[in-house]
Amino acid sequence: MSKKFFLGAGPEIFEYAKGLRYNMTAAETTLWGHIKGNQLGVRFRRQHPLGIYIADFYCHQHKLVIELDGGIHLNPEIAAHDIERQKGLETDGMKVLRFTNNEIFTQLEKVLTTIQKALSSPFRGRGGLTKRIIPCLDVKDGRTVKGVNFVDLRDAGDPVELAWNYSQQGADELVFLDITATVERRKTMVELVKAVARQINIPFTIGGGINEIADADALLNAGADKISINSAAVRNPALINELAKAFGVQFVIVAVDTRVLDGKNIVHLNGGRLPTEKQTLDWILEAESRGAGEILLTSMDHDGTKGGFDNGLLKQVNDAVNIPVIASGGAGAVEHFVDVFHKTNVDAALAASVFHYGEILIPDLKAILKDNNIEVRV
Amino acid sequence: MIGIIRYGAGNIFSLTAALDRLGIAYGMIHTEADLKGFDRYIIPGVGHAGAAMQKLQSTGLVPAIKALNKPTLGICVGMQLMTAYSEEGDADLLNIFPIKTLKFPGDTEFKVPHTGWNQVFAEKNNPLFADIPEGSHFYYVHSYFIEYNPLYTLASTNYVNKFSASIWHNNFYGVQFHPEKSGVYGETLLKNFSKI
Repeated sequence: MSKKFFLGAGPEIFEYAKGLRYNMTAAETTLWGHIKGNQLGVRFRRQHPLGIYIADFYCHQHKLVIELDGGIHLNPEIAAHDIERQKGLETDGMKVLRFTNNEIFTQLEKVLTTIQKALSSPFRGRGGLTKRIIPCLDVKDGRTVKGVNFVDLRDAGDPVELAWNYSQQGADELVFLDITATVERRKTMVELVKAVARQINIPFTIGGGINEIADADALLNAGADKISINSAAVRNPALINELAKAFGVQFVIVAVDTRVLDGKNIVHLNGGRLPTEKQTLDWILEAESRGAGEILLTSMDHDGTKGGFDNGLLKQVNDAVNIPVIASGGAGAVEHFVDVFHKTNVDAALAASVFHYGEILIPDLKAILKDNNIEVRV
Repeated sequence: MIGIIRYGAGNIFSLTAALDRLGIAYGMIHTEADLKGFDRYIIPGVGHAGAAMQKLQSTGLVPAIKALNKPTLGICVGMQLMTAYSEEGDADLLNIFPIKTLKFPGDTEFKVPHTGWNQVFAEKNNPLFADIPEGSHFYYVHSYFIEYNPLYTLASTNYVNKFSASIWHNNFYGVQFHPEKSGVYGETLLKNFSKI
């Protein structure tokens, strides 16, 4: 960590940096007042040692260096040195922004805009927006079905109690997948949603068996924040348009189950058993253009393996769309969550059994994500 | 007791559930006569701002809302309605705050809608944010935002640009995030409002 963080800076550099922090110039003090303490959604450090250099300001999350140049830097010899120094930093993957003291005093707004632009690229979903951790609960006839192994639950089959537990642990959102197959389905779902909305103070999504506007309307009025549609959207893509128009795009998650067939990612139905004609990325782009507000992408090849998320596909999808992407399928260890956020930059990661069986505790997971410079809500 | 202004924009089940959990009393307002029975008001709202404004106008409540002098909190689209104008539906709104509601640009590297938990920074001292630490996370889901304005912005969030997470002018308050879905700090904010 420290090697990357300081590029192996030696002790004399640290001493010198400390001195500089006590003697900031007027321009440095002014800029620091506008970027310190997460004001731009990220943490900056001042007079931060990097190898043989000391950056005036440095954001590790974005590897962004900000340098302020006073009158002395206009001297050609010093200017040449600055260029060398910038090249050195850029070789190490740093981005360097350079402003004159005069710009700080006279065009501060413009300077801050430039910094924000640099922070927003090439990363997405930044500016303080956290990556979300989403436990998923399977529900049948109003009861949780997959085995749940929480020690302190009075009733492990009660989705409301389980949901409350997750919200207390720091889950950012919950997904309920209703697999009830009876004619009473809508009624039991509505009852469940109402019970959850009464107790839980975080957003939740309900999916399974939503085939028409009336289903969605009933769930919305019962307090669901979002609905997730899967097979119904594949069979009738216009349903996405209708739902988005009736309730807004933010209400509509399109869930996509994918599996590789002959080297291509193909959309599958019925829990991955039934292949369709649709290629996964094409279908996701179509869903976005029809009004999906979010994509929940489950790799059926990875699901249940506990070997990690399908980072290749997730990155491809995340780079192609401009709506949030939730990764699903394959989570088995904390490192898999670190990897999926670092390698694909998706917005959220969903898992079921690792949370239900207590193999991964959400507070531990978030602490490790944070240590890895991934923005999370703790 | 809080009066919730009903005009047919979005469901309020989650909001009333949160108030129930907190033991905060509330009632419903459908007509001007209903306003009398309450000492503070919430204007909820989800969905399309232009459409929401039309619905609000059809209730006939607009002049009475503009004349309110008791604490009034707009949530999400309910807050956007209190601004002068929204790019959503190119709509003129209540103009309690002479600032605008704008669309997040779609051509940046930022995804729209702005969905999830983001940090909120109070810009002014106000009891609405009492006992809420600087930089606490609140839950957002929106594609339109209220521009930052040092006169009216009570708290800010940074996404694409710095925008108004919360606004305040006299007895009028607004929050862009969903306090009823924002964990304990969201509940703290609702509690704070019930005591303002």
